[in-house]
Amino acid sequence: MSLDTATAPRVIARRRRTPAERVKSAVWHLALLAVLVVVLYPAFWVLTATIKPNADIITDISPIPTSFTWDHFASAFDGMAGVPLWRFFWNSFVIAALSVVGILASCSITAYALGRLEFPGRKAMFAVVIATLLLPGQVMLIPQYLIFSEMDVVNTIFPLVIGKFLGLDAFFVFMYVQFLRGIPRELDQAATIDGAGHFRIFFSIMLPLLRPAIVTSSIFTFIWSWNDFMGPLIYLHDINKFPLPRLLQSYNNTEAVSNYGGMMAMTLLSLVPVVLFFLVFQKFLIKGIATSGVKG
Amino acid sequence: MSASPSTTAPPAAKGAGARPAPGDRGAAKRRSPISRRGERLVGYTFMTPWIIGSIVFTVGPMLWSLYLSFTDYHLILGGEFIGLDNYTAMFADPMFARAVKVTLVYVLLAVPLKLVASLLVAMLLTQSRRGIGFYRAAFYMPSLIAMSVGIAIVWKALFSTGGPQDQFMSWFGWDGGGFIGNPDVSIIMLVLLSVWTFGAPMVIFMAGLLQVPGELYEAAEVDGAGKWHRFVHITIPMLSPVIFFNVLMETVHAFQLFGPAFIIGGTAGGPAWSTLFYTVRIYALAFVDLRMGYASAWAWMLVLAVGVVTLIMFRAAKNLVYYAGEDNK
Amino acid sequence: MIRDPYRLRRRSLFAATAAAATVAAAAACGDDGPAGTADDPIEISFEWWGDETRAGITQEVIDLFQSKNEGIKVQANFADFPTYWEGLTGRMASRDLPDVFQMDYSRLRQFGANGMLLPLEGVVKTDDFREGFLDTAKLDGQLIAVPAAGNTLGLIYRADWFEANGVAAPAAGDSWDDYKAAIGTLTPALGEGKWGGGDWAAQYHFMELWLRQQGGSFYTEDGKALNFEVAKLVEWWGTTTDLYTDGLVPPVETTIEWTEDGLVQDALGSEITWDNFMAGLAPTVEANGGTLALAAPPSLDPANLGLYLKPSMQLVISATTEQAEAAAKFIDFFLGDPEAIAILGTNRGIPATNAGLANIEIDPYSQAILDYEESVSQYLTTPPPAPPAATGAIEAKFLEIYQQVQYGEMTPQEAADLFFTEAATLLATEQ
Repeated sequence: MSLDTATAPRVIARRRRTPAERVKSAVWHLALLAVLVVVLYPAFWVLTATIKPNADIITDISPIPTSFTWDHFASAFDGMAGVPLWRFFWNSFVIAALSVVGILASCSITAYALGRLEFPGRKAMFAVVIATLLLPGQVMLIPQYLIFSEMDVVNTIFPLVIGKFLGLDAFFVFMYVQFLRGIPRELDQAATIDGAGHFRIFFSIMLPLLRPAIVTSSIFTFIWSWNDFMGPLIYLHDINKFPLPRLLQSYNNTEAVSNYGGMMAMTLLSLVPVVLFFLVFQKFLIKGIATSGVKG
Repeated sequence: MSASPSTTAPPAAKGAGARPAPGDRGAAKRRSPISRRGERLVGYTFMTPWIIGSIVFTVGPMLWSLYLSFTDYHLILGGEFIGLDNYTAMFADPMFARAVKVTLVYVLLAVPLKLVASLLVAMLLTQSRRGIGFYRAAFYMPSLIAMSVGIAIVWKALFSTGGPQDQFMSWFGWDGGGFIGNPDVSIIMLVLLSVWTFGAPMVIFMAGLLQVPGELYEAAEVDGAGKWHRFVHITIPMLSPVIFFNVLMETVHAFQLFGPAFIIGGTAGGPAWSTLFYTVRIYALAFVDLRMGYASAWAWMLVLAVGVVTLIMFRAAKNLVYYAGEDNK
Repeated sequence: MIRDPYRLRRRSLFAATAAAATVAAAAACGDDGPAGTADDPIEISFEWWGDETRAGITQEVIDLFQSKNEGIKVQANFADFPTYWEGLTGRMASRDLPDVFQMDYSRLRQFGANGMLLPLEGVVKTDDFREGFLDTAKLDGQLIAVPAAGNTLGLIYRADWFEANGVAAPAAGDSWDDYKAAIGTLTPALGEGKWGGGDWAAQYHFMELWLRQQGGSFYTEDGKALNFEVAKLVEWWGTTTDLYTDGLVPPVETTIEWTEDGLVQDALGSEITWDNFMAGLAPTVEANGGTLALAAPPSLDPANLGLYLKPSMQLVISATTEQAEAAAKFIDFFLGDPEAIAILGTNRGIPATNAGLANIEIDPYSQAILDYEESVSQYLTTPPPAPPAATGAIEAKFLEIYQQVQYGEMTPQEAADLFFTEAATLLATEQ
């Protein structure tokens, strides 16, 4: 850290925190924590619900359970209809992993073409991409179903992931475009002058520099895919192909009736990967939203 | 990362397979004809997945569903052209009126509440104090899980009779039971769930707030402006592009709510159709009743509605949004 | 930063994409027919509706089948009644129905008339069914289902509560007014949180019962339209209004959150329902110290109870199954194997086969059901023809619209008008 005069006054100021300021800070922290507790109450509730006996779950609102049981986790691992829980985790994971790869591959090249290259029709295509951002997806739902039905790929994960490989996710195309705007054009020019073609420029220069965007888009894709419900609801019918949201819905309609604790344990377990991802990568996420949202 | 064109070959040009060097060093023109053609080729190549995808899975389906909306296509029984019958039937359909009402109420309640909440929290969190990173992450977290099936199921329990919401409100004299069984207030469950996802717009607001130049506030303070005055006359106008973006995106998404509505209310939008969201009804019409022509008409009506709302917002933005560095009113 | 890693990145990117594409393609393609041995088993899918109890015993039977048929593997799935049907309808178009699945009489036409079901003549054993059962499994003369069991409507009630409060036990020939009077006496005597009976106006089956007691029917003979007037529906939906306002039946705000039957929760004193539910409800009630009994539902006409022996559920094979033989084997096993029959008991109803009847463990509850059916056998009349294809949707609408009445959002008249419009639309779209 440089010792120039710019930092010196700041250091001195911190040492001079008055008791009044400290009290103010404490009050602020307490107030914020209080709000936080209210906001995170549902999350606490799930945690306690997984270890309370079934009868108490709904009616006992105290965060400290009066009696414990680990049975719920045991029944959660049993899954449903003879299919164990890990199977559903695996299904979710496969779909999410494919989605991440697809988005990364297709949205980056689409964004590069739209944001960095010139060709006839570019502006029109870009306009279409923007339009799809604001377009209700339901309008394409039925024909897409009919198309996939014709292709005989209903009840597979093909319909769920193919769109990711074709750059149809306008949000991520947009995000990549925004990140690309942050890369100086002079780099392109330098590379061109030195004989690099556009493929080379993209793979050698852009992609490495796009790493923050890649990380951000991958995290968001993973989380959104993990939570996706409508797609699996419409396209997947075999219980052993169900990803976690489908399992939860199915379980909720049947066994949850008598085993609510098991339902809660399953819910908690299904949310763990999302929360974990978040805790590890939160800086990227928050920065990613900020960048894609504000610039432009 | 040097930004200056150098005469030494950068590492990028190393290795096999480099395209033949087209440009002359120091050539006056930035792009030579060969390069332009190459650029076009690369452009189209890179766009190929998108072009295929758009035609087959976006534009194509859109046009097809428009056509379907003028037919009485039934998934098993087929259908034929019936002109505008679907659209006239829609306006006579009590379920349509109900779905529109439920969705509109939700949008009008959820979007403002959510944005106000996210702005308030964002303002609280743009200070640099110790541990602010923790708070930012903690307040953002719910928005990641809120729209999941798991949380929707939890929500049903939280709002059931005898559950936390019921007990809490009973202390204040509430006797309407859990929201889940009470059609007059059941929509509030979903509004609250939406507000719980305030994290995403909050982060965007935070970024916007951090870009407001501090000197503006200092100058205003010197001139004697109070906190509220500074908020209304500096913060809001400087934030207006971000506000516009958030309002637009949140509204468009609110119209399309499906997952939680489906889990909490089912295809019948229970209790008593009080949570019958537009998209849930489209799903029921298309995949349960198999009336895909009719469902397509409903879908296009949604496109129209969202389109109109978007246009109105853009129109309003012209007058209300202040872009720093441009001429404004 | 810009080094050779770019090559690795590009290569791994392509590799990943290629791998992903392969996986996706493999997922999309089907596999070739398996050999049907223990190492390469034939797989069939079997789906049913029901609760956890039924799921448990069904899984037992499936395991038994698999142990006796090592070359066949059964993939099971189940859901609650509404979700089950919601899930199946969409699969009709993609020809993606389970190989074997449970069928309800009200949906037979919807699936059968559209060629979704495999004709079963000569495919499954049909020689052992009890009298009259097979008629309800035919559509336009073709056998497309096999009955798994039969049931009929009845009135299940808490015998101990009736006795303790001096209310005469329900009996065949009692009128609806008698029943209402019984509830009127019982509810106040039971105290807080308990009611003598539940609101029966929401189920279209019970209205059908009521109509049949007047010599009518719900649908016309050809199954194309409703066979009653709006005024009749207003009357039906008004039959419980006074009970409702007097608080003699539980309010909809309470019942809508019930995840279990009211009888099991010790909240209801009686309920009009299917007789085979006795087998599922009675053990729990007994465990909680109560006694359940079964009687005939009330009637407008002591001589005509409106009852008929209905297939409680049927089993069907999808027309697009690739394993018809294995599927048929499974059905034959399900309905005919003595061990399987013993496990399934009367959970789904009284078995439709003679072998079934001979082999079920006649526990007191099953005996009660059998006795009951014996006692009303004189009253059983011909079942109505298979209802129209739109019945499933109409049944759901019936419930939804009546809920509006229960919540006070609509009057019975408004609701009835709405029902007729909706039913007309639904019937028109399925024609």
